[in-house]
Amino acid sequence: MKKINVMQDVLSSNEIIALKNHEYFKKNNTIVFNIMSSPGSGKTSVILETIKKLFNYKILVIEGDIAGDIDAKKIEKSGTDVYQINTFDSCHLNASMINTVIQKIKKRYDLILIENVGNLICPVEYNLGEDYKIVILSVPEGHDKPVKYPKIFEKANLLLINKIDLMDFSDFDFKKLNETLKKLNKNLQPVKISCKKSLGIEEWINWIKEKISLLPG
Amino acid sequence: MHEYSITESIIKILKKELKGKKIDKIVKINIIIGKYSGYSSESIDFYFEILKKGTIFSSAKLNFIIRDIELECPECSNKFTADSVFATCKNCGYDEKFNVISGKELLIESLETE
Repeated sequence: MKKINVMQDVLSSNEIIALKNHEYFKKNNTIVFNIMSSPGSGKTSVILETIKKLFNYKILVIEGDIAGDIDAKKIEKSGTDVYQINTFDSCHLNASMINTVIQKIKKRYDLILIENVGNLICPVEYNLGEDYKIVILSVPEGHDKPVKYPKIFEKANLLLINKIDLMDFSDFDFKKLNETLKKLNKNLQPVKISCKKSLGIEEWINWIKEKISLLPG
Repeated sequence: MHEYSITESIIKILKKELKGKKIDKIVKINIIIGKYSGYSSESIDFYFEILKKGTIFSSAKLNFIIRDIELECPECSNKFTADSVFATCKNCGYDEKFNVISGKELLIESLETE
């Protein structure tokens, strides 16, 4: 019997490509958000609201779905550039998929919004080369999601609580949510929004503008 | 579900590692997996049994070396093992965010040949 030492992180191959993607974005002065949530919590609605408000910026949207191009068509209708990635058997986007899109990009963008596959588990394990991880939690899902899926909330840079217009019909408890977040990610300040009723969107937009203003040049 | 692509990555990394080496049979692959890695060893094993067919790993078995979740209290530096990241420090009573020292790992440690 012979033992061969390997000692390699299983995710190292993804990390290498993510780093290459990040270098490309940095070189082009592009800010990139990886938007993650459960299916149906409003990722596409948040993106549509964002591109509506940031009409002065050059934006690219990358849509990740197991199948279909329903969301990409919605984005296309708004006149914004969009690429659809179908992952087929994979429940998350990976850095290599984003690298394939980079190869096709023909112009420079200020902002790239990546809509990951709707899933609170796997997407967080795969860095894409983004600057910020945005997590959306919607009121009907409940305040206890961070207890059940801690890692995604631990790594998030910003948490949007969508569908706050449904608070009257829900037992969603912000106090309990904040108590859980203290244990996972002390810097995470939830931003309350409703895409349907256009509530709280300005705070989210100001956050983006602040991040863009931090870019050199 | 995400263990499928992780198992593919394990095989890909090992194939690269073995390139140019004269090895006939791999009998064991040692994987270090943390209890807070987000991956299930049972699922990795399940997919490995499917994906190993017809490869140099067809006779190999996976051996998982489990790493506990080890936390460090940011208030009093007390180190302890816990079942999850939601914990309370027995030394000072702190119960917010702890530093995770180990438990997040997913590493290919080594492989054994015949």
